[in-house]
Amino acid sequence: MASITSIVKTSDFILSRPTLSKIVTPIARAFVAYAGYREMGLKFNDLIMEETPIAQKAISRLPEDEIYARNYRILTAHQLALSHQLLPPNKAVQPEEDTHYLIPYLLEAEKEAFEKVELDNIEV
Amino acid sequence: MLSRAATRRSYSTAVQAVVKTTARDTTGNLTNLTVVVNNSGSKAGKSGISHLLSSFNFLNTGAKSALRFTRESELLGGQFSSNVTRDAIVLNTSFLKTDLPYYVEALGNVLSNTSFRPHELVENVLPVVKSQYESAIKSNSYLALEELHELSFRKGLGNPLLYDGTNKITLDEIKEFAAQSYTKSNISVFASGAIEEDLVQFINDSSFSYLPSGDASSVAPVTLFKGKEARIRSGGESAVFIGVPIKPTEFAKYEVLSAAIGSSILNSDITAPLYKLAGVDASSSVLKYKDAGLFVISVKGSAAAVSTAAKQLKTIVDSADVKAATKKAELSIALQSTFESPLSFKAEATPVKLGAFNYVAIGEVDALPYADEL
Repeated sequence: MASITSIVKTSDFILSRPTLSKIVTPIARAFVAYAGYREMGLKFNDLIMEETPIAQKAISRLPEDEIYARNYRILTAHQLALSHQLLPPNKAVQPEEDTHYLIPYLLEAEKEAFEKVELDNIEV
Repeated sequence: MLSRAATRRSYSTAVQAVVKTTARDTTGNLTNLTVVVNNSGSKAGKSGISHLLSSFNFLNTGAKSALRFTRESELLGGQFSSNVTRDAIVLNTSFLKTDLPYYVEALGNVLSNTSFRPHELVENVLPVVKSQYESAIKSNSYLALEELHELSFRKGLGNPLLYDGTNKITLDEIKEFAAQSYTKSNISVFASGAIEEDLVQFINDSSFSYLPSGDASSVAPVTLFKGKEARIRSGGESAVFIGVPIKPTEFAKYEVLSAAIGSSILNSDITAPLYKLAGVDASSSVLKYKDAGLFVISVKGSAAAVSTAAKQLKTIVDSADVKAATKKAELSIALQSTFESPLSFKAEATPVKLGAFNYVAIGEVDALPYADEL
């Protein structure tokens, strides 16, 4: 699996090229619309796989209010999945609310893990 | 070590270092570089905050992660530690002479550029602080000394040395305390085994120059309290501690008194009265801080023996032969004088009476005497 660091790097590259971002951004918007996670009350960062040591570490470092909100969103999504419903448009997560709250923590945890691997295998 | 040059102390005069620097060159291949941050020991700020700040030293900085610094230091063969005292936070490093620029840079980064990430407080600092506190309080002597300081000075020097977790301290408070403490006027650098000009050059080129200049923190005047008593029920060894808070001007005569009755520094002096007490481990010492001191007599052992011995302490102190102990006191002062904190006073044979004192009994207190029974 590609690391979050490389994904962020790629997306920064795409956004830095006007032509490329003009092509990719509409595709991304369409993907988000069809993915439908916002109608389930989730943010994109809630979907990132959390069953890895790095993600676990990042989640454990979230501020308390963020972790509460995250758990609340996941509970909401479960409830909606069980009852086969979607949130009405005014209750769905709005695009401006869909923030990357977890990415900075993932990047920091990955940086530490990569540095550790590098130092463990260093040759002097 | 036989040559005079080997122990010469020099002060920076030519190029002024950005912080106060004292260096001496030594033979051999080792450098001990010590940074003393004055006015930031446990006497300053909220109780325990300096212990937390001290544990943040050598963690992630803007320039380098804690892991990288630790591994690089291992490869260079150096050692580093950060300790808190009542007066100051002391950062010690020792390494091979050739690595001086690396460690000066590292210490400069620690003082001016530590990241203070929120997760480090939870993951690294608090567990270490908690384990240091818990291993310290297993010792009854530590508990008794802490209590004695609190009785003698209340606030300031009476603050607990280590963070006990009673009061909540946030990361922002630690950051603010660091900004107040880590200033050019508070910091003194001591290098043993380094050439003065090189050291000053490295310090001026390093992050030391980014430190705020700061004004020497105004220290609240120390008030001394006498005649207080505390009794602590506790398992383990029983002990009786007598403490007399003293002013810095009185260090000299109390050093002589301590040498006369049995100093913990001169513990091979078996003729001293305290070492002759039966069945107990008794000694005396003068704890010297910047603004005040504490003359301590401790008697440890089984409750019955401590109780018998404690009742003789007053006679021992009042009949101490200070004239005969002057030379011993001079030796004791010389032994305690270090490169980082040289003692400048001379032994002074003035007879001292015990007078009013603070008293702590710890352990099996049912069998230990009260202060007025001594």
